[in-house]
Amino acid sequence: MTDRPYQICTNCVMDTSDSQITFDEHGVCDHCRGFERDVLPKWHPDEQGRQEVARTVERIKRSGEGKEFDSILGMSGGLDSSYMLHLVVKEFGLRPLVFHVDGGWNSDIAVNNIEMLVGKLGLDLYTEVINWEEMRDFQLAFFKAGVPHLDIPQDHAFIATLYHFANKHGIKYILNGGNISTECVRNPKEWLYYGTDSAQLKDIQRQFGTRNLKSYPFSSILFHKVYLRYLRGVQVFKPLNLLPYTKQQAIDTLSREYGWKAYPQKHFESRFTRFYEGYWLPTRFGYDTRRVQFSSLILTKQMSREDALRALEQPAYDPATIDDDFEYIASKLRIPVDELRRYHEMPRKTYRDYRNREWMFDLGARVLKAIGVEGATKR
Amino acid sequence: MIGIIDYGSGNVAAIMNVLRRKRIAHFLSGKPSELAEARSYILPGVGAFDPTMEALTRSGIVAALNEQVLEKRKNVLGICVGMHLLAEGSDEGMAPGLGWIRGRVRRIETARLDRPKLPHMGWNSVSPSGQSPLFRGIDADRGFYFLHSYYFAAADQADVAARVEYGEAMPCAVERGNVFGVQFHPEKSHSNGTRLFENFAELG
Repeated sequence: MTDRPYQICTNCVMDTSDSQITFDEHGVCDHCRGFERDVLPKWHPDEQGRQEVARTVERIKRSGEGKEFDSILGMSGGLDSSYMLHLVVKEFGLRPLVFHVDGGWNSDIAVNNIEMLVGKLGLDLYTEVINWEEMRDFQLAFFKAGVPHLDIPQDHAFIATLYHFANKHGIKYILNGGNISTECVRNPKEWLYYGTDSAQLKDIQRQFGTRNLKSYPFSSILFHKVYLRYLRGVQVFKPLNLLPYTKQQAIDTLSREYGWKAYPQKHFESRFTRFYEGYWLPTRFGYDTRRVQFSSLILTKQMSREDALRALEQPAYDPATIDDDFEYIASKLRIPVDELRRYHEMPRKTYRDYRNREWMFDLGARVLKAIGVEGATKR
Repeated sequence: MIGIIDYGSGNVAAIMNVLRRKRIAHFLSGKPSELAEARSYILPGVGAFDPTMEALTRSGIVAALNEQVLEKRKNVLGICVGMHLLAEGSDEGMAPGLGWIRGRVRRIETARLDRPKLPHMGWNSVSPSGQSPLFRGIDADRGFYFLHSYYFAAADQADVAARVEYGEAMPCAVERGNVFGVQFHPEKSHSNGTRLFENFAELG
C-alpha cells in the first residue's frame, strides 16, 4: 500500500503491513516499546492484582444486593468470554446477566460451547437476535464500501446490546474479557476501525444500504462512554488482567470442566469472522490479524517468535475449503458468488473515504491513556 | 386479554415487549384466579422440562389451565419448553406433561445430522403443513429463530402445523383445536414473530 521498504520487528512479528509502524535503532517496533513503557509497569497479575480483584468483587456483590443480577457479561463463545464466565461465577461467586448476541454467524462450536458452559453453570442465557434482513443489508453495505473493517456490523451490535442491557437492568458493572495477556498488541486502526463511530456506520449504510435499519441496535459513544459511565456510574471490570491468565491454561480448564472446544484461531467463533480475518483481510489488504495475536503472545511470553514466523508461513484459511466458504458466505448474504468475488477485487478503501469522527475517538483514547485508564491505544 | 403464564421461569420480558408494541392487550400472572379472567393464554418456557412442570403444578396453574383450556376451550400458545409441556412426556425429564396433544418430546438425533451440533440455534426456514391460522402472512423462507435440543414428536401427524429441517425434518409447530405450540421463539423472530403473535391474538 505504501512505497515503504518491507521491515519486520526484531522482537515480535509486526511488520510494515501496519503502515504506521515505526522502528527504533534496534529494529524493535513501537508496539513492543509501547508495551514495555506503558503496559508492563501497570500489569500486576499477582498478589497486588488478587487484592484488587477481592476488593472489586466485594463492591460488585454489594451493588447487586437484592437485585436479580450484580453485573453483566457478554458471551461470544470465544476463549476470553468463556473463561471469564467460569471465573466470575465459579471462583468469584458473581451473578452476571449473561447475554449472547446472535448476528446470524455463530459457528457450530460456538453454539455448543455457550450451551455447555451456561448449562453446567446453571445460568439463564439472554439471547439478543439481530434482525437478519437488516444485518445482511448492513454487512453488504460494508462489502460494497470496499473498506477493511467488514466486521463492524457484528461488533457494533454486540457493544450496543451490552450497553442497552446494562442500562435497562440498572446494572453498574460490566465484566469485560479484554486482556493484556492475549491482546496487548492492538489491531491498527487502519485494519479495524473503531466499531462505535456512528458517523461512519451511518454514512456507509446511507450510501450502500438498501433499507433503513429499524431494529438494529445502535449505540453512540456519547451514550455509553459519557452518559452511562459518568451519569449512571457504570464501571467496566477486566478481571483477566488481575490474575495469571494464559491462553493454554484457559483452554485446559474449560475443556476439562465443561467439555469446551477450542477454535483454530482467535475470533473464529463466528463463521463470518473466520472468513473475514482468515481470508478476506490477508488476501485483499495484506492484513493478517494473526500478526497482532502472535505478537501479543510473544510479548507475554506464551509463544516464541520462531514459532510465530513458522505459523505465519501458512495461510490463515484452509485452501481446500475456501471455495465452500465463499459459497456459504455468498449464499447467506444472498448474492451470487461472483458478486462476492467482485467485492474482493474492487479498489481498496479505508475509513478515511467515509465520514468519521476519528479525531474525537483519538482524543478520547489519548485522554484515557493519559489518566492511566488504558495502556495501549489503537493507532 | 391474553394471560401470559408466569411461573418464575423464562424470559417473558421479550414476549411482553412485542405485545406492547403491537397494542395487544395482555397481562402477566401466576395466580389461577387472575388467569381465569384471560381470554387466551401464552405459555412461555425457557429451561428444563421437569422443573417447569413442577412449578406449574405446585402453583395450581395446571389444574386451572386444564379447566380453561379443556373445558372452556380457550386458546393457548406454548412456546419452546412451553410447547413441550403440551406433550404427554419428555425425554428430558420424568414428569408427565399436560398431555393436551398426543406425542412425546424427544432429543434431536445427532447421529443423523450432517452437522452434529446441539443445540439447534439460529434462524431457520419452516414449512407450514396446512392452513394453520398461526402462519397466515408469514414468510416461511425467512423463518424463525430457534434455540433447542429437543423437539415435539407428535403422535398424530395431523397435529403438526409446521416442520423445520435440521439434519432431518421435525415438527416445529403443533396444533389441535384450541391448543397451539411453537418450538421457535417468535419473540426473537422480528417481523415473522410479531405477525405470529398478531395471528394468535386474532383467534380470540
